[in-house]
Amino acid sequence: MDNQANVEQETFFDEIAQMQEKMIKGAEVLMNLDFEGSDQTEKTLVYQEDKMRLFHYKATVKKTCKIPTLIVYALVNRHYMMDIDKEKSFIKKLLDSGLDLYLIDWGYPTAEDRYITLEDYIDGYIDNAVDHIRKEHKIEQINLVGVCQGGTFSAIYAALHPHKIKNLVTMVTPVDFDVEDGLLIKWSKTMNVDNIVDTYGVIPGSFMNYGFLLLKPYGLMVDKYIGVIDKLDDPDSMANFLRMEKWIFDSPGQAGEAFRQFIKDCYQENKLIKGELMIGNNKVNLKNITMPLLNMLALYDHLVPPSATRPLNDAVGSVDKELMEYPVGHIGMYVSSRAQKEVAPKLSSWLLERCK
Amino acid sequence: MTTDYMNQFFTAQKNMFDAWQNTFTANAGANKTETKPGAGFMDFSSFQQNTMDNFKQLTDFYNNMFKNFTGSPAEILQKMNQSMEAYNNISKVWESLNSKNFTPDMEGVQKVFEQWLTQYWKFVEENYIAQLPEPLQRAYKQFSEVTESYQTVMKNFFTPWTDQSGQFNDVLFKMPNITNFDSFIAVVKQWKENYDQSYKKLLNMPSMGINRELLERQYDGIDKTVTFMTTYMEFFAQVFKVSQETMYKVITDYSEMMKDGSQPKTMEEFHKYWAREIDKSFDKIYLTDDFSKLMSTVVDSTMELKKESDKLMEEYMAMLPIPKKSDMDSLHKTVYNLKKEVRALKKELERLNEQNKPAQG
Repeated sequence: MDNQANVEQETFFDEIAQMQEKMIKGAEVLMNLDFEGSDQTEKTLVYQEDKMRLFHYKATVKKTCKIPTLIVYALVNRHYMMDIDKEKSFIKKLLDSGLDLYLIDWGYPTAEDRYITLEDYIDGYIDNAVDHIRKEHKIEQINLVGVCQGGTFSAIYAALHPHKIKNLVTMVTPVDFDVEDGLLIKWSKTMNVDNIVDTYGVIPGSFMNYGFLLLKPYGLMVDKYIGVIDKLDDPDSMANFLRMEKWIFDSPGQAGEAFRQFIKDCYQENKLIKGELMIGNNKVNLKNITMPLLNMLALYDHLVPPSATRPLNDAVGSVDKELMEYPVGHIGMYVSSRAQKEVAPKLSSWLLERCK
Repeated sequence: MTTDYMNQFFTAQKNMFDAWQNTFTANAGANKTETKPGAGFMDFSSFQQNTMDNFKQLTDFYNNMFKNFTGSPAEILQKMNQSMEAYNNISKVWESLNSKNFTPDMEGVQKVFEQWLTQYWKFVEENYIAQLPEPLQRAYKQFSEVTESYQTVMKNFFTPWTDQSGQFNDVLFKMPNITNFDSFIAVVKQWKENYDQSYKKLLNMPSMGINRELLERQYDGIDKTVTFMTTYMEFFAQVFKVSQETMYKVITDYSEMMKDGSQPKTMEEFHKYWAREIDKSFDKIYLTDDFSKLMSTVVDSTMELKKESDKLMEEYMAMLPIPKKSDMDSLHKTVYNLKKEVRALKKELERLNEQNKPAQG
């Protein structure tokens, strides 16, 4: 045992010495690193309303799908996670398949936006963006792709305006909030959201980040930065890491009234799946979703557990519906190698088959 | 930078407690001829001034509180340095477990654990807490300073405190260890209960005079501060309890594994094993109803404190020729309603125009 202990200690000292050497060299790499490259896929601003901007992506190949597709991202964090860099761009992968893509950028709410409601987001901004695209293309229906909370919004929108949506795709989208395996869902149940909204008006993005970090305190606040030491002498890997790091902490504030209703009606009272959610004067009935539905989830999602996503397929009135499950995390759906090889190709082919 | 915020915050807390204490003690207030305990309660001028300054400090703190991490290379490097230290600290445990002197029995386990525990607070202060949100940072580290003020206050105030101050002293001022976190939490709760039965009642007494509203608001602010601090202490105690218990379990399990040679063989393996265990432990406690309630209480008490300090700031600034947040909120509400109306009218106009278009043929 003594010999074994000595060998292990020698290895240990070697490991520590190597790590420290990497740290020293890494400082120079970090200081000279260019980690721009996110949100670079070419696009044009085609419509703007308050802070919401609608972008149209420039085609990279001949468009094989005549029906344009609108991507609705969540209000939390920024859409460019889907365009994190040239090699891993989920957006580019979709464009390369021949899809005609639009995207809503929600911007960064400021104090004046505290009164914006879910109705404003869904029946206002999203509806106006959809109408703009329909008008531009002189068509009745478009495809809608919703991401995370943007997926919940998209499902609500499709239920309220089924005649405007040709195909619906929801990705890592929570619809059933009465589940036991999601910490965010569990913690939100007892949260005094009125107090938070009344205090802040617009909830600071960093406030949300603290909640996300707390989910895995050691992993996200310490271990991640130990893991990166191994990549320190590789500028490309470090640039990737920094792009993700920038994205993670690039968090817009949350418009208070919309946040209040979303937490209360969805997270706390689970009204959406029960058919009790009201958007303005309209009740949301998911059975009104009769268009084809592709529901995609991440099996290792610690933010939106699969159990919160799966029930959508049973709740809708669609006949043509499909559930796809991938062994990735919430963000892995867009930035992992599986995202490039499996998720994006599946989304494209599913839409292309239904574009006729 | 972070240290500045926290020093600012804790200085504000301490000052407030001092001001608070002075108000209720024999030599309180500007009128030094008063000798009876509680006489200062009727002389608010210095307290009011101090509290105003303290709330300003608190507000400054909050203003700076959310200027956070942006992910720049320099910040990443700093985080990596901090994380490296954390890693080294864990590695020392591994080193001890693999030293010639280690015996895989209870005595050996206890010895390694105690060595780790000695390093633990350094680890907590320099790495873990440094990476927590600013409002949480150093709250735990500063226990003793704040509780010192608490205890001084206790000595000057009636029976619930004097009866139990010995017990408080024993628990609050000793370095927490695996056996006394629960009693620490119990004492914090008892402290709060005593406070609710004594100081809180005094603070909630109706005030009189021209400054009645402002005074009541100031006292309410103090009450919110106390709730905030005690809730945070309980929260931190729960979090660190998990860390310590996990490390104890890891060391014990490791010594067991050593008997049949199945222990992690390299530092890297050991670190991964420890990280996995700590994640599991957090997941376990996080999913309990009690922790959810504690989380919401922590958030709630923070909101209450911020709301109260915001209101006070508005009171203090009422005479200045600048718009307050509540004025702006009112204005924003008007603008929001107007925008909504304009949009609805525009849509209606478009619909009417469409309707009135001559049919094309």
